[in-house]
Amino acid sequence: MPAVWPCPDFKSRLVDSREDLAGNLWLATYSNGLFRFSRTAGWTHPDVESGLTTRSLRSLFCDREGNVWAGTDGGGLLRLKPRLWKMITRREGLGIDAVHSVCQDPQGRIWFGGGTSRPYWLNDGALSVAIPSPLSDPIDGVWAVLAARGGAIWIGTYGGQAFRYQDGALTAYGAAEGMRAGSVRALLEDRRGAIWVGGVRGLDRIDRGEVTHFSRRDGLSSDRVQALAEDSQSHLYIGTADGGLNRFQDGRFTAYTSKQGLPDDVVTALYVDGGDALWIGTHGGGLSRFQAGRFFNYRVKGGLPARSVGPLLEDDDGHFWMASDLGIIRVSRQELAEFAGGRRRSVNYVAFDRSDGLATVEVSGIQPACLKARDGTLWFGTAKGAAFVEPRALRVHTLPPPVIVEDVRVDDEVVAARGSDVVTLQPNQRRVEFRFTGLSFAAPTRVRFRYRMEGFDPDWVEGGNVRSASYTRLPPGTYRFRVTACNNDGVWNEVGASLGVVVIPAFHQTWWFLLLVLAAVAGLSSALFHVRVSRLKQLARLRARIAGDLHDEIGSNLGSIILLSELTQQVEALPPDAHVSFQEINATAQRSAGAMRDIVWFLNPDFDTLADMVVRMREFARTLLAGLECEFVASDCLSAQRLPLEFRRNVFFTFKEMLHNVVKHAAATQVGIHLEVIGHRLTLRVRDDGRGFDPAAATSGHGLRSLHRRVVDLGGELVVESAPGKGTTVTLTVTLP
Amino acid sequence: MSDDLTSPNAPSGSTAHTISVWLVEDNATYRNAIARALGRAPGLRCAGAFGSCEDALARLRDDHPPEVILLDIGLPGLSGLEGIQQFKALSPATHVIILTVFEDTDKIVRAICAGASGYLLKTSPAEQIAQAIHEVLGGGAPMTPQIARSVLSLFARLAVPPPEQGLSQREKETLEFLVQGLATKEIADRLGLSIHTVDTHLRNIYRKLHVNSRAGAVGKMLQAKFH
Repeated sequence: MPAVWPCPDFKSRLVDSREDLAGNLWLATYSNGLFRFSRTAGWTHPDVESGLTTRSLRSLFCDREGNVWAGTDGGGLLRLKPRLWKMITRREGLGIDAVHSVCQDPQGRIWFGGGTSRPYWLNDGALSVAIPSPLSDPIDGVWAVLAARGGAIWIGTYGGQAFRYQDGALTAYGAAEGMRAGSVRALLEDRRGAIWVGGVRGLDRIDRGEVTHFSRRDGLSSDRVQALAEDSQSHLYIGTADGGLNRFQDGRFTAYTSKQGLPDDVVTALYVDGGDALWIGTHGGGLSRFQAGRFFNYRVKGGLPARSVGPLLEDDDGHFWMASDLGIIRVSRQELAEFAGGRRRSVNYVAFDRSDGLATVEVSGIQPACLKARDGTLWFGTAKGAAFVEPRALRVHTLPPPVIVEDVRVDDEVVAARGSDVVTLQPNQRRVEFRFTGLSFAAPTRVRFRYRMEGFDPDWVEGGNVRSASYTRLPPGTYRFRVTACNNDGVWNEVGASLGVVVIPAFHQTWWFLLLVLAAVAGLSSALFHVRVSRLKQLARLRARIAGDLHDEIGSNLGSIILLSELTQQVEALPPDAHVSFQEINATAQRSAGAMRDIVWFLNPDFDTLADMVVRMREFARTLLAGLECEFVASDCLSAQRLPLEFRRNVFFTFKEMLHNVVKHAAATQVGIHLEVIGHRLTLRVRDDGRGFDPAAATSGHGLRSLHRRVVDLGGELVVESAPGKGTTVTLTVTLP
Repeated sequence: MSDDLTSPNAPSGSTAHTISVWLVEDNATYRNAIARALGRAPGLRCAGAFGSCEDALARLRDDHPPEVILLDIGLPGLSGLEGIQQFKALSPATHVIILTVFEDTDKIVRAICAGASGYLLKTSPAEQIAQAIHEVLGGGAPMTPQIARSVLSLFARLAVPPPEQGLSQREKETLEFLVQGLATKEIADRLGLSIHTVDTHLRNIYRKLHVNSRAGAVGKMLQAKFH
């Protein structure tokens, strides 16, 4: 039998109606706004306080994400989203603004503590004061509330006291009882039932009525305790404000700081999960996990980017919910574990902020600040009341947003609108900009993009929520631009959109042009080289020809002079001085011929070794000393070392001078020439058995001066040994270059 | 002595045999000078003086060939080398001595391979010219260290010549000493031979050069090396 629900008086005609994904019925009216019918909640009339800008509606639409859209007359386009987070604030009857601490007693009542002397509780949907005055008067500022297993409620106060409330009786633990931990920041009940009170001046343990105090003197790394947790082995973990993490085990404290791998020494929250891993929230280092003695820090690339992580807890579906600087974020424990194990490259998280219904994202720092109630609801104490969420009712937008490239601009001009496949860039075009969007309207600002130019970017570029990407001066080639997006719940559209990009090379960039240029350069240099070589060859040939012609002319003429002067000398009637003149002419011409032959010989590169020089010296000696007994001894194996022209000339001319001296001055009959090369030293000795002279009384007439000059030019040494009547020995020593 | 230099039948006052020498030289002054020097030299007679190979060859066809031709190797027109070949072709018994300005080993060896019997420097005094002519007719073989070196390397590169055409061991040694610049006398001392024997070796070397050149082998090798 169908159920029937009476309608309210709409007061205006209906213009549109829709059913949303949750099964609610929405009705839009012409001038009276919006009505919603829900089977559980009945009729509601969302109005200005929900954000309605005008009551004049014209149309309705429900999208795939579950948003409800309303078109209005004069009020713009409206979007309605189901509220995820709900608040318990003063409006609901809470007598405090900020909720520092939340807990649930065995009867199911939710307790709130907020700085006043009286805690509040939510009892069966009704909110009221939990401990009325005058009983609650001694409570000097409820800071932390804790429900013990035995049914007692413990209250830690601003003044540093702990109160136990059970069966209507309040028991106080203060300084008189031994409490010294100071203003209470954290409360914990351990496995044995002892109550740990962490404060700004240390740690107090209340065990069967006895108070024990722990501080730095007992080994705590810091007195400023901020968080407490206990694992299944009864190890107590203490998070401090500046001393990192401490573990209390077998009566001893062990400290863990950034030196041991803790990302930050300011620990703000601790939580032990079902697998005995300790989750640590820090102020500047994000989330960390302590397991098997090692820390894994999540504030890394691909991990959780939150910088400060506060109170955290786990829901019934394997998700962690934690306060952070990004809002209250939800992240899968599985993904965190896989990420730590290297089996996952990035962690997806959902961040909730005011747009999801939270009045503020400022979560209390007192422990316990968050609670998982028995019905699965999660509670957080915030600066503007208590926030709660039903994790199961949370619809995760599993719909990845479609990604569209809206337009492509090249040098700021639109070249391709939607639907194009390829964008072509001419060589003179420098900048290409892609504008894209991801269609998710649940939280459009939280849509994140990733893009990549295949062939250019080595990896995906995280674009954040910026809806464009630009590239300047892409090198010539073919590329593919891909872009993907994720919705506010971190669900990625893996396929995304893509566009081909072709950058046409300027002709001077194409490979064939470069090849051409290279070939041209190679050809040119080779041609230049050949031209040069042939020119040099030509020049050499010309030079040789000219030299040849010259030599021929000169040689023939000298020959003529020699022969004719000889012939003239034979004329009988020649006067004696004419005879002498012609003799001189003849001699001069012969000397000229000899000099010419020497020049030619020296210049010839084929004969520039030591051996060649010796051959020439032999010839010369043979000719000059023709009438004398001459012995020329030279070492047989002279190296084939090529000697420089200057050196050869100098040595040869020195030798010539030495022999000329013998012929001119010695009047010898025997001449001995000895040439020796030992290592790099050359020794040339000319010995004659002639007149000799006294070296001390040497005058220029003995031709020694020019000889010395030549030897100096050579850089060698000259030794002259002589004695009148005893012959002369001249020795030249020089180093081979 | 007659001053008629160009007459082939200039009468000589002596009954001793005078060697007929032809002259092929384009430099007129030098040609005249040599002709006069030849005229003065005992036992020699300048039987013809020409300004080019062509003129000389023309006369050679009609007339008595001379015993020696002095040939300028730097002649224009028909090159001296070709001239040698043609002279030898027309009159194999005639000795060709080339005249050169300086000892261009390249030219000299080519000339020898083409058939020349020796060489003379243009700047040689008359006495040396006469001596060279007598030497050549006596079977001598003028050799300089550089020429010796070239000859050695030439023979080394010939492709397995038959035994009579290759150099003997003694001939090789002789050439090697020549390369060092030793005179014939010194070589004779070193090898323990007489000067006559050394000269014979040198003559044989020349002959082998001629033979090989006629066979064409040496000519090819020369073309390869001296370019």
